[in-house]
Amino acid sequence: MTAPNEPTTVLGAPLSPQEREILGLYETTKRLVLDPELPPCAARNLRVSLAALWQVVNDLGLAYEPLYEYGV
Amino acid sequence: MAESPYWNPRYETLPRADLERLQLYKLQRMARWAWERSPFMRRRFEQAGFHPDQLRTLDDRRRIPFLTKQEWMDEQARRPLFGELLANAPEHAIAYHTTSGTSGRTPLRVLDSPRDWNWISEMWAYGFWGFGVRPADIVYLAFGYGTFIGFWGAHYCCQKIGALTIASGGMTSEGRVKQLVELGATTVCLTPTYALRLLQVARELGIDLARDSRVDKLVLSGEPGANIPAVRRLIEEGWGARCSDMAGMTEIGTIMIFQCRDSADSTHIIEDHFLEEVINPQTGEPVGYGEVGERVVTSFGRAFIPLLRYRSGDLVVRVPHTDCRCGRTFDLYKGGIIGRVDDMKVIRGTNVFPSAVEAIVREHAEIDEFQIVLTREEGIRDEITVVCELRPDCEHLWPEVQPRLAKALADGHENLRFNVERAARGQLPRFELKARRLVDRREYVR
Repeated sequence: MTAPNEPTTVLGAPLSPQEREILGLYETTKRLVLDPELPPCAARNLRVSLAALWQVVNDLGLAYEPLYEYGV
Repeated sequence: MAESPYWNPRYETLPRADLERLQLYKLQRMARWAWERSPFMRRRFEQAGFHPDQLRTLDDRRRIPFLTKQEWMDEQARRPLFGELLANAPEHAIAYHTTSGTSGRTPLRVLDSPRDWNWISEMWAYGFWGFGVRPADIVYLAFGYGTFIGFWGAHYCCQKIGALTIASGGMTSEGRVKQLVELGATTVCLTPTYALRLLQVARELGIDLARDSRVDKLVLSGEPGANIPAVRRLIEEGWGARCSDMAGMTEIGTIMIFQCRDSADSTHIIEDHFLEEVINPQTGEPVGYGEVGERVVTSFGRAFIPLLRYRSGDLVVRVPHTDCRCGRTFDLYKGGIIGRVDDMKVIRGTNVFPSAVEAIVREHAEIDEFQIVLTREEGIRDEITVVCELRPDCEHLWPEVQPRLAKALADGHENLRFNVERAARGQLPRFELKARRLVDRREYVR
């Protein structure tokens, strides 16, 4: 059983510690790319990273969303 | 930990019931995205009385109207460049691509964001990894790049896998043969037609690709040839390599099916990223396993241009995943893409598919290149002629090849009479991308 506010996969399975870490990276990167103070080298490379992380969370079923509002 | 034979073990071996739950989850979100962000899609949904809230089970997908290429092209023509299909602002795109324009019409135009672009290479990665491409491989892309999407996704897939990736760009065929041998390429990506062409060029250069190259894997895409047994045999013997058929379409930007290492003649559908249906092209009703029908695709990937229930025009035969012993739970298309709905020609009442003619012609090793010409005689009688160019060392065999081929073609087509004629050396066109071997000279026929 998964506790009410525990994150799960899109199919409802509990996350492993490794999956939590991946999802955390994804969420952190999403937050970072919206920071208007980032220099171009960081802003653009983080978007590349976010596109790759989106693929990881999509493939592992941790999240599935369009993501375009992040310029990715 | 042992190396996985699957790129994505979690989903490639997911029980079917869970796979369908995943597809529903993605379908609901993609349909809502299209509804909210693409004016073209929303208009079509409304006209059909469809709303994304109606998607409660996977069967509810049938409420979504089919999308045809013609509708897409019309919309694009009405509001150039892209119509109102886009679900994202064009300034967020990083890649522009077009269809190959095989049919001679204006090509479709598509845009991709960084996320879409990554997904495109990811789909190829399912196929390349499943076929056995690994970081130690040297992958040669015999492809002209440009705006036609072709093997672009394969290129970035190979870099993602970690393989050395060689883009041959605008090189000549001679240059490519020499370079792939010199650099020790182990894997080559190209169309089936071009695989045959490079064999011919290599022979003329005195190079035996099976002996002189390190190539042991060929990734074939762009045409049905890889799963036509005679074509496949010619290519595999000539190159001394195994072939994998990977089929895609520019409309979705990537491949949606691939042949794994264990399958002799079928291609797995990447079902965690696509929802594929097979329908009767006349009625639009679903057909069952083992029946020929038209492939209808819904993509869960590229959302810049959402694609839901797109009539691909590809003819396929779907079979259960258990037809392959690899362990994937993804269903398969037996023989890959076996033809096109609009490829079928009716000659004196007999259905003729160019791919079926090719399968027979390629059984005749003396023939190097061929063309199918349709004409109308005396304004009423349709004639079909197969024009053949022989291999240089086989030209003297024409008196024997000609009747043998004519008989084989008739036998394979309910005794339909085929004319078989000879072309001079170098007279017929050669192709790098999609071959156009059918010439229809009948009046009023498009």
